[in-house]
Amino acid sequence: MGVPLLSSPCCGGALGGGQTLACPRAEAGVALPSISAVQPLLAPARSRAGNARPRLAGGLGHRGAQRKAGKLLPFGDRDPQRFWKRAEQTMVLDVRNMNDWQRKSPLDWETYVNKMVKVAAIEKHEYEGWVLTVDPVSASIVLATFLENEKVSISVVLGHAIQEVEILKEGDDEMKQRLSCIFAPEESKAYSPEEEEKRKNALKTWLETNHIPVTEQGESGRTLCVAGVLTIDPPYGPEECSSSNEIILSRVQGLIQGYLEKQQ
Amino acid sequence: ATMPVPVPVGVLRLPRGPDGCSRGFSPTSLRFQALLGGDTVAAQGARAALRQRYLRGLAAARGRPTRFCLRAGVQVDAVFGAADVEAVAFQVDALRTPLGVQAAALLRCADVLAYSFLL
Repeated sequence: MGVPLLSSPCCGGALGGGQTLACPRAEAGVALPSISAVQPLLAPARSRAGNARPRLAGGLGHRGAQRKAGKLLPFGDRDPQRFWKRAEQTMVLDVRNMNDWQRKSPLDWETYVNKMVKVAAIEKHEYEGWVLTVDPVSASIVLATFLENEKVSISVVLGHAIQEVEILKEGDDEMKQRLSCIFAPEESKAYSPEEEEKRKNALKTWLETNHIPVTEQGESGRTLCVAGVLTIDPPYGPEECSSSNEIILSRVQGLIQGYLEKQQ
Repeated sequence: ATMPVPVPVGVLRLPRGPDGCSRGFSPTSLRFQALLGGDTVAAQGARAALRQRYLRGLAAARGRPTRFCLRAGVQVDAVFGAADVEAVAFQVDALRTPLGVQAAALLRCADVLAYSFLL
């Protein structure tokens, strides 16, 4: 009946039923169960006899004594006004609210490509240039600006910082061509099968003389396999090495780079 | 009526993930929206083309001296290293700070507003 009240932290858990509690309110000699025994639960007074069950988070820590005495404010004993003022002054980093630009669909973003735009970013930054692309993952705009000395300046404005994008000009065909060539992948020099075979054998011999275990793999034997963990595809340059081990990959890439430089 | 006394249970707090929220994924992220399904084939094609151009741009940026504009008007020069898949951080080499040149560093994408380099 009233037994649960006995096990409340305020009143101590070790007392049996019907006994007079050590709570101040029960000092009037009221035995349990009674209505007045509910009061300690609603407004827990501190038990002078000590608690059989210690308050868990309350009295611990280097400030436990202050917390117990009820003198410690939630955010320390600093002035509350200063706390909220400081909170306002602290910059709020990206709170994961997408802005309008980030919410657009990829087809919308595609309409901006190859156009001259002005991007208004947060903190009053502004960027102008020809849109090369918009990254779908981060909604970042990649802008190209042509400088006088034949150089191109690429600026990337991150999606979370974009406030407004304004189209200034459409690009004509010549501009589209120019923009698409900026990031075009380099054409790799095509080797004939005999040249490839020669390069492969030369590299294999060089690796073997340097005591690096290398085997040939694949159906036509065109892929070299180094120590069972790294593969080299034709045309056997540093860029054609692939491995799951970064350390071996970087070492072998360096070796092949040095080998090719020595050859030339 | 007996009232069961609530037994205090230890609260297990998961470490915060790299995205900031500890739920393992962000329900507002574009990847999750795409998973829910809503985009047509055309949108996916556009997304792929845009992403490919962006990745080529990142490849072109690698190894070039870049200027990063961070928040509060801070600008730093560094050599562009790499960016990660979910646009959480940039890895840079030779970051010039008032304390000296850091050989390698990570810049959080949430801090970076824009960056630019010369081709």
